[in-house]
Amino acid sequence: MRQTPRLVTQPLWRQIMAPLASLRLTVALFAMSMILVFYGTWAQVDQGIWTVVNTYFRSLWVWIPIKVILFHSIDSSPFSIPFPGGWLLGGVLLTNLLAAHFMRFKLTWKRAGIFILHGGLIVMMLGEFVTGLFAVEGIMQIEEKGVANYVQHAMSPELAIIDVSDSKIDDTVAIPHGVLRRGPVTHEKLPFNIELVEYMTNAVVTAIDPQRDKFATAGLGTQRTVVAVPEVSGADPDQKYDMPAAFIKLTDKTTGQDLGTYLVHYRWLGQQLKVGDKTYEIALRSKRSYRPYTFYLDKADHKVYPGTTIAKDFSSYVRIRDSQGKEVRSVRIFMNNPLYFQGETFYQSSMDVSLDPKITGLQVVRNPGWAMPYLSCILVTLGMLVHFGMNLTNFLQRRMAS
Amino acid sequence: MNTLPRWLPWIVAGIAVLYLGGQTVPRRDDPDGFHYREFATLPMQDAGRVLPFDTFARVRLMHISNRMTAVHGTYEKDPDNPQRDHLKDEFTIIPTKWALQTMLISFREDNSVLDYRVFRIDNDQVVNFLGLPHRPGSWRYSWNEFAENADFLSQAKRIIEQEGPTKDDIFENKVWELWLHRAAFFKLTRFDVRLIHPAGREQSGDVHWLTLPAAAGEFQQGTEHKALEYYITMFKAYGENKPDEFNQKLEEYQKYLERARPADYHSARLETFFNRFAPFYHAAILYGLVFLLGCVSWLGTSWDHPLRKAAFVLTLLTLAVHTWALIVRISLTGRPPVTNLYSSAIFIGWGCVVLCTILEWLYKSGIGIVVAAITGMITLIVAHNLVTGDTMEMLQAVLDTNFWLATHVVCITFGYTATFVAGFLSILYIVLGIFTPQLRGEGSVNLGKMIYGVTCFAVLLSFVGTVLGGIWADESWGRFWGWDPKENGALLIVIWNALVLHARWSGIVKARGMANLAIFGNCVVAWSWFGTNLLGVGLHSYGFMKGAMIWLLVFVFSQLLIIGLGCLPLRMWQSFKPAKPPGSPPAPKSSAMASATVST
Repeated sequence: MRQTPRLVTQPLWRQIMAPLASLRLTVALFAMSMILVFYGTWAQVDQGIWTVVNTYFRSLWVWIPIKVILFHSIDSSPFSIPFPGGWLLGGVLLTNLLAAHFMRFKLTWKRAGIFILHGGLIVMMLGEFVTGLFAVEGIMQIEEKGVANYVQHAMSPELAIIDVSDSKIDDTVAIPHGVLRRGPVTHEKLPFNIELVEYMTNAVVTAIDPQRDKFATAGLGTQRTVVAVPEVSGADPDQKYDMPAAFIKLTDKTTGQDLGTYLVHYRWLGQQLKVGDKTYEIALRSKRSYRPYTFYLDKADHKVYPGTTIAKDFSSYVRIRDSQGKEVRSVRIFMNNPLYFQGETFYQSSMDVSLDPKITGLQVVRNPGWAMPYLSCILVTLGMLVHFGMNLTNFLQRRMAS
Repeated sequence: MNTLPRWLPWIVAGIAVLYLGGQTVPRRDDPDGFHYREFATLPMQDAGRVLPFDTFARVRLMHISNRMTAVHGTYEKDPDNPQRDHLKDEFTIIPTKWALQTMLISFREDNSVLDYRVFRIDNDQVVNFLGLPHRPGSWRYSWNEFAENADFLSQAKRIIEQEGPTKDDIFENKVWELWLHRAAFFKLTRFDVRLIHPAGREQSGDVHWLTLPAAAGEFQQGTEHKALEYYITMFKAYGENKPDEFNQKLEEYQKYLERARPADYHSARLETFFNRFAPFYHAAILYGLVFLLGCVSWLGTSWDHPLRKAAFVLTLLTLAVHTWALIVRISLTGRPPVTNLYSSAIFIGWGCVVLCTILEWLYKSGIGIVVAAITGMITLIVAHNLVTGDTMEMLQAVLDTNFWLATHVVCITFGYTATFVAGFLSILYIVLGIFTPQLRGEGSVNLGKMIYGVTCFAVLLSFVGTVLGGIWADESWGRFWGWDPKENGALLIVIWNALVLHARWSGIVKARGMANLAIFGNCVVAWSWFGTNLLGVGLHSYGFMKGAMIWLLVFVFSQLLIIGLGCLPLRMWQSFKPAKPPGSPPAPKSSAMASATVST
């Protein structure tokens, strides 16, 4: 080893870049990523997986409650500790990686494996970024012998107000949950203003306890009420869904008269109210996005192992019809065998066989970044094989020679 | 006498072969009694798969008793303490005998099966509630002691009415568990056992075997089932206590099966043999022996070399048994080796031993053998404790794909394996370094190289395994990465191994620091392997998982303790403390490790 005396001072940009490119920073970032991932797992004990993904991994900054840090050994969190989130750590890691290659760039065969594998990692991080920003997921639920032409996005609730006065057409006004939370909503098609009184991410329906305050002054909420429950835990093996509920106050647009406070819940569809000569349905439901085609569920098939209740297979036999009702395709969607159709992928996701007719749930995904992990996987694996392979060959040759 | 060391490896191997051979000799049934061991080999269907009656009986007994044999005899009251009693003239009851006696209880005059103490009640609140005596160590009770207890029945009724036990109420959960055990026993007495292969239904995909009552029902409708006739005659003879008749019919039925259903007949016999041979149990014992031989070979006597060679030969022999057992499981289940937690433990053990054997072959220092023995033994003990029922159970729909089980699962399990090997090599680095002079000179360099090389393997395998899992998820439900606990666990292993390598490359750590980091890798893998399954503790599971949580914590603390040792200043290490001043007696010139390296 030859030591070069450091007489020449480095250019300023190199001095600035040096710490950014250092391997010590890499190690520190790895350690912090591990802490983030570890607590992002513990947070799922009492939080939904999507809440955790958004607050821990797809964020710049996360406040980790002390309760999570102590592995839920205490029940409440008097305070939280700030920690860099997934995007911040990922971003700095990416910068660190690029800076390191920039500063120590040397194109040699010996480093070929490292280049390929780091290239693959860059693709992977970008892939997760693209997925986080642009991927859309939803569920299409279809009854056996029934049809569906829309996808529900359970994570984005909306308040739907449907004018059902005309039996031929339903005129729907859908207000996203985010808009509702910002303050009272006025819509040109509706004769009343809408105000959110209280919102619950997950709630179950119960009988009204007269001891407690009741909010609803009209509609179904005068007979039954709801109580808030913790959101579905990411660690829950049953993986149920959250069932949001809300108290909604309606006031007449012109007179300002109170039209009553309604309780809406994911389970309650078809709750009606009358304003003037018009009848409306009011419902809190998953956001729906409509498709220019219809799925008809011919058969929902559920197989178990003989003499057990262990599921062996779920299959949905679906006929796809275009907007004119002409059948374009007939297909079986089953476990590990999704359907690719018009840029979206349909996966067999759930099946409620306790109901009659049975209801199948198809997970519908559109992800522009879907190919990136595949590319990345190939690159990183290849890079490691090349790099470690070269080292191993050298090592074995020396070992055998000695 | 001088030839003895040379022959030592072959003597050890010979003894081991004799020991294993002794285990394969089938134990005979009592010629005058019922041929239970033969009956045990009959194929039947349970939980969706065809298995021998032997496995069925073991699983049922395990379920209620948490062990695979029952013991009975005469109980005599302790004169000093009427609460206690002593067992006299005790005898062991094999699972098949217990299951047959239970099933045929209404056929027989002898009701002693209701007095067998097989129900395990390990919660003292429940024991007190039932007014039962405490039986520390065993905690096993007979049907007659609790099953008709009115308080118990009313508690169970209440729990049924409230649709299951309250989540965090241990008492209710334990009462419920006992109720389920009672129900399982009761079902057995009701012949809820699928013994009969339906005649003429070979082609229809999944064949539902019939219980005796169902087959009898079909018989009355005019469908004849050959097996039904055999079973009824056998059971009648059993009820009338006529062993000869029973045994004769049993032999006839076996001959019929061999002709009519050869595949089921032979696989059931193979599985019965596998159950009785208990290959993993004996492999664990032999690994223990390897460990002892390996350690003794470091004592610096003239026997070092032959001892190490003996340990190596014994490792290969044990590995052969381990491999054979894995292959039998693969052929019986028709699945890749890892399908559940139990099989992952035996497969990780196998992988560790293979990897360490290669290391030993390269370095011939004894280190590989000792780590092979430790990891092989520990994983098999862990596996043994994970048995709660049928270890070859059927798989849930989403897992029902041999392609991904063979690629993703195997790869990620090898990732666990390599990380564990690196971790245990590192433990050896610290233990040998501190307490022995073994690591002087080349020794520490070579061990450092091993740790480094294995960590490289670990990062490769765990990365590829994790990404394959992502691709499987993408193929199954359209989400490459969902940040769920199991995925995060796998990611932690990848990042940790990458961290170890980068720390080494950057010079933050050298050989000793890397060893300390690699030991922490053991904790990371243990978390990913078990911890993520335990996140729900307190929410869903009792008993087994709670015990697992404690063991996980014990393991993590032990690793941290070793890391703490590894941080001791080098002057306190036997291997690294500065040379003694001139005049003092010379230190041992070379250690086994260094000499082995020189000699290769």
